Amino acid sequence: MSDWTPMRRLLAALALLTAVLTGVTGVAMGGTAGHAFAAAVFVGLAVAAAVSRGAIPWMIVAGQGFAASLLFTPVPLELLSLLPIVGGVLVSAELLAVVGRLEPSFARDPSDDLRRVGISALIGVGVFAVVAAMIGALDRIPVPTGLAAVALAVGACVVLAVLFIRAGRRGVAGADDGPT
Amino acid sequence: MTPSRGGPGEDEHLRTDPRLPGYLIAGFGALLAAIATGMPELAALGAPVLALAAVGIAARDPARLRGEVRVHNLRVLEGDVVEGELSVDWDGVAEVEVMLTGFRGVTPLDPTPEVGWSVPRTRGPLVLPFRFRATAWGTHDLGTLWVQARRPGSLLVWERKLAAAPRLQVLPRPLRLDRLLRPAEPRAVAGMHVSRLRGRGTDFAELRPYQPGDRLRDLSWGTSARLGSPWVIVHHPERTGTVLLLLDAFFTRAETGTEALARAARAAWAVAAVHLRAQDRVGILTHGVTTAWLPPQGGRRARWMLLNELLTVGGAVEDQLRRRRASLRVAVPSDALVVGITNLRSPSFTKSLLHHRRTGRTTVALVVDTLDLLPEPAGPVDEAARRIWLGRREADRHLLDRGGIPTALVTSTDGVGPAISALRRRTGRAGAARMGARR
Repeated sequence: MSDWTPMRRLLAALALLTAVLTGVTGVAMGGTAGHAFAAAVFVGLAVAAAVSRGAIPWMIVAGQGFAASLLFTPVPLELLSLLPIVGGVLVSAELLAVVGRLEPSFARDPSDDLRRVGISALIGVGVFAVVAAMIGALDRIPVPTGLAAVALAVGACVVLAVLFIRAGRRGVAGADDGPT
Repeated sequence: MTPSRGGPGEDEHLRTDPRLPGYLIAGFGALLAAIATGMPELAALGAPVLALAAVGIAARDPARLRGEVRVHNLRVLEGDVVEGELSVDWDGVAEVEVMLTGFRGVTPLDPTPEVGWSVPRTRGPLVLPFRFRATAWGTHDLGTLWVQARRPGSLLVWERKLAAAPRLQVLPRPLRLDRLLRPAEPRAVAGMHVSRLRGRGTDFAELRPYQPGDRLRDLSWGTSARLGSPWVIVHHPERTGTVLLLLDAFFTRAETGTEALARAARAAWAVAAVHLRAQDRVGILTHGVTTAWLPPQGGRRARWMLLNELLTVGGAVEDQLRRRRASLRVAVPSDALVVGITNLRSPSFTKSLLHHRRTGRTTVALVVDTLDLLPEPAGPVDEAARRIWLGRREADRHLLDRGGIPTALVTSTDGVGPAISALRRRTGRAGAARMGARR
């Protein structure tokens, strides 16, 4: 890490601080050893992601798992109260992606990337709030909860499937033989 | 200016940002869990990451990357600055990263330490100047141009390896040398070496009484006047010699090895150049990471062929490619003066020198001093290692001396001139001793 630029160090510190705050907040909300363990895994993977970009997907999955674990607390929580956790996971992931993009030792201005972190966080938090509100509204009308979940999931899957099919036609192919 | 181009092609491919698989796994996992458990809250957790994934793959138009590398001068001397520029173009608006990777024999000056640029979102084309310093002699690849383009906000990256950069020839910087070694047996072709035979030339051989047929211009008027009869001056004819440079290329690719080989090459080139100017025939035989053989020949063509062989050796050492030529037939002329240029680290090279001497060829060795390239000793162990290394080198020099091969040290400060002078003195003494023994 000795060859990291000051900007990269600052952003990595900010990402890890966000991850730690998210973890601490979640543990305070959950209040069980299982939540503490989930938070520790999430923060540990965030540290790993700061060092290597390859750990970013696992950090995101761990963050989502941590947020999901808060749905199973001794005292049930409001879905919207998970907003800081969801936002914290997304901001940490986006900031760590910027840290990863600053890896090459040639000069790079991260201001565009930082603006995009903000936009992504807004999109993520906004979508979560909308969906949470929808679920709250569905609870108040006489529709079985499981059916609402299935409807939401199928709708999202259809939209994503269409997007992927369109992307596949353009020739999406992973490659790992170039400079990263 | 020599460009190396890469136009729009099919080898452009997509890479994914590491966030994309994370978002997809987390999002679809949450949706599946929501379906399995009947908890819509889990779908709410998956929705934001799926939304970000959808936004990230929405902008995926191919960038159609193309570009070229231009280098202003493809033949430079060691230490010279190599200037060039990368020209890159793409379709639409994109954030672009451009990198020149895998270059050899040069050190980047600007940009540094990596020859790479990160360009915020813009439209092409883009011209990016770069500067290198040529550090190692030889023929080198200037690397490969890589370009990555990402649409603003996209989690997909278009990447393409564009055409390889041109090859650069780094010539060894010439050392100042105006002294010649004495070839073993000058040939019957006009040159600059004094033969033991007498004939037409400029170097005085003896005075003798005039004989019918002598040229009047050879009359020594002063001697004739003193002795009262016509005397003529007899000269040594000037002939050419054959010089074989035996270059030790047993070097590692470490920085010290490259510099050591560069010193050996400079010495070889200095000796070759001065003998070629003197109409000698010069050849080169390289032992080490590569085997190169150029039979002795003279003239301007020989000069360029010799330089080309040296560049090939330098490039091979830098690339660590073993370019042994399978059916190499080396026929060293029996009258050749063999000049070994070595740092005496390879026992097999020492054996090779001794072999040439035993087969009757006059052989000398220029020992390239690389002591200053060693790191400063950090303690008594390093000091001891350095002493052992110096001791071994002196032992090898002694071994060569005993085998009839005079050696001289080429230092980084004095260059090759004093070493050649020392060898001339020593070969002169040895020659006189042999003549005395014959009498």
